[in-house]
Amino acid sequence: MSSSFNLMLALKLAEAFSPRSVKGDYKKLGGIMNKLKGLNGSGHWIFLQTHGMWTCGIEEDLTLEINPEGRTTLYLNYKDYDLIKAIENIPLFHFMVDRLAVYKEDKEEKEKISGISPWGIHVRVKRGEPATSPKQRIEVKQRIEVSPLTFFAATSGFHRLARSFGLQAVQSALSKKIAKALFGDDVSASDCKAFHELYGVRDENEVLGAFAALASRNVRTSQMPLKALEAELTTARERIRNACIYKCLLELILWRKRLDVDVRESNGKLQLSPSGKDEDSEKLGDMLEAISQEVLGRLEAYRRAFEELKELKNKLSDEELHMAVGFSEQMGPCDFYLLASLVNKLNVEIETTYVLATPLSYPMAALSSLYAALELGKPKMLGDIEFVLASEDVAVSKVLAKYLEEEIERGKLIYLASGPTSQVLTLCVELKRLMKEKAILIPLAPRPAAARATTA
Amino acid sequence: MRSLALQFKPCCVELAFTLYYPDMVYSNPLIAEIDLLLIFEGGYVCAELKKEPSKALKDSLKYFVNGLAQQPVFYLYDKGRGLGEERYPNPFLISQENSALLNELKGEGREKIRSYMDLVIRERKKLFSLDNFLRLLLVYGSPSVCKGIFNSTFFQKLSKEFQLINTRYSQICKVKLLNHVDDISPSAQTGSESSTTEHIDRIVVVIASLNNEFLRQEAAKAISSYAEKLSSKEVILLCTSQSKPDAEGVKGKLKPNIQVQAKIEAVKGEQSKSIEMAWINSISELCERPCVILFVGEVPKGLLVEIAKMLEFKRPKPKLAVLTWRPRLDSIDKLMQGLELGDLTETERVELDVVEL
Repeated sequence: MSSSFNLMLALKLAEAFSPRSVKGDYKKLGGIMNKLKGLNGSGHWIFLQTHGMWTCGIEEDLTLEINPEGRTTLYLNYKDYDLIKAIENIPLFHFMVDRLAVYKEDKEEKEKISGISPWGIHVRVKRGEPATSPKQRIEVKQRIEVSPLTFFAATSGFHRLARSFGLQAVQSALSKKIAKALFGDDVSASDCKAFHELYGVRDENEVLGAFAALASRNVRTSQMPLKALEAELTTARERIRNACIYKCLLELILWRKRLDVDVRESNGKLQLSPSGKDEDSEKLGDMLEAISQEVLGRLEAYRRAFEELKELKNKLSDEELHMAVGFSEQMGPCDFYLLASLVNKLNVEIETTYVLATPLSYPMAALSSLYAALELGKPKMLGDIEFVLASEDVAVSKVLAKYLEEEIERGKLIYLASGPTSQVLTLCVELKRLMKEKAILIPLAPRPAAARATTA
Repeated sequence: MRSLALQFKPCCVELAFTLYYPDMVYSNPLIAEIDLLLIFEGGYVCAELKKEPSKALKDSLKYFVNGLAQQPVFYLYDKGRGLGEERYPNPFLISQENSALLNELKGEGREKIRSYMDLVIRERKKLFSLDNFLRLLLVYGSPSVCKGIFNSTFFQKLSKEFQLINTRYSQICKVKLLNHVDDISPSAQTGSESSTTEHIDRIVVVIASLNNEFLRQEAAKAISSYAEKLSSKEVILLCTSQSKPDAEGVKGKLKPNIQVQAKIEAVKGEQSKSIEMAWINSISELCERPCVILFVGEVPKGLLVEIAKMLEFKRPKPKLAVLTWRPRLDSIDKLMQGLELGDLTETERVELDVVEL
């Protein structure tokens, strides 16, 4: 399993997009969602990658290679000239991957003419240097098809939210198992498709690809100078933990056809564990145990939300219910799946779910909302999805609170508090002031352990 | 599904001028000097390549400041598949959706484009500078600041000159809950400048986590200014055992010349209680007299929910405030004095500021 073999994993972006409820629902979709519903996998990837600035698709397959060092190479077919041209003009796409390769396949002679950039970032695509097409590369042990979310996570590299994207990809790939661990078997959300299934991606491919994306990013980031990491002007500091474990995990992934991962509950904590038994399962078990809290810890918030809502259930019955969810930068499609499971488990009717995105979380929130609207917008799940683009700004949050108060004429609003501090605080205070008993405030955060309340 | 109807349109395309927008995604400055600045239905990307990446660290803040004014600033807007010529930045390209701006450039504007390119660039830069400035107000300005601007003779002169300015004016009034400038009354003000009659002599600063040296420095600066503004004599930094080093870092950087008694109190939780309830108990004890609770950095959401619930019953009711990045509005003074718009872009700075709810 030495990296000297330099085996690589190739992720291919899944193109097909086939939601189940293709009839009727589209009429209700507005703005951004309307644009997204007509696109395929590459269109969704471009939407995420360009932070919502582009909503076009491309012609040829997109492939990304990940090597044992976590480095990524994005392969582009010369036929997608517009995309390549855009990359050359706009260092937006490629600053997140380590290397770009442009290739051309000649059908008759099988001759490959391509250009490949040196390792590094902010380099223009060099043309004319020999390189093989991704299909012909012998170093690639296997090629798997993954959803746009996982592909995006793998191409996000050093983006400050790349870790979140990686976690979202893993969570999304495991969403059904997580829901089962949190809420048990009797959840009809399990009848719904998981996000990657909309693109016809197989479970084992998505799991393998998502873990590879997360591990790749963490390995690369762990090599960055500490000063650079500290330069982030954000209050949500990211600690690069378990870098060695991710390195080993990545190497293990490159050697495997599939990664059998299960999710279970242990002492109130969600825990990753290997589901299959093979020669690597013990080693894999140790690695998964070490990263469980990082990967799944936040999702324990849904258990808390469930418990708090369950206590209020008597007050909720016979009321028309609406829900508002602050869509934080850590959230992704899995969160909607868990929310749908939570509502289903509570056995209540939600009329409308308002998704409150910020400009920072908006592309992921938009794509996740589309998924929720198409797959989870059923009675006893999330109801109608309403996408609301807000801001961290206090003044905008006040407008938003008033908007919600005016929208909800009857019944109650459950506000699942999550997102930027200023937005959450303003919404909590304003909703309570405007709606009084009609507003139910539930923090979407894991229940803090008593032990953490230690004193100085 | 539908979107909240704040009608922002992708608007301007201009190289080398200032951009201000609601929020931003920025990559690590040492790695890639790229910002994405998003406005609601469109998007902007600003990119700058540095000759010496190692110096980028120091320059990080400028991305909050002048929006990468040097160049290149790329702009894209959604046009379906986006495969037309509109995809690429063009200094003279205006979205067809932006009728206000198009109208602005009809007639005389068009003639100017033909005959006086330099003049047109300057004129448009002036227009866009003002537009960006108004967007800045839209996002960050408190109602009373907006009122001050709108009531200035200089603004009124400008609004007569440019239709686009009137459009922004309407948007700002809508977002800031101002029906019309003339209608503003003190009670209608909801922003940070709403006046406080009672004296507040205690500021309780909640620090759950603030583990970045630069942020601690900026936070201390903002807290000091705020304490000075309120003439508060006491600043209490409330923290946990984990965040105590962060609180000490802030305390050490508070301005020495102001008359505040900064002390650190650690939240004391019992084993049976959650940390959130321990926070609430500590905050409640400290709020027995008029005070401001200032939240710094990331705060547990459970605590924020509990605070909102506590406010219903708490007497005297404490004021709430958060610390957020805001551009300094130095240019307001210049605008009020009727100085050249070109100067606006030189003076904007961004720093952490206290925003009261």
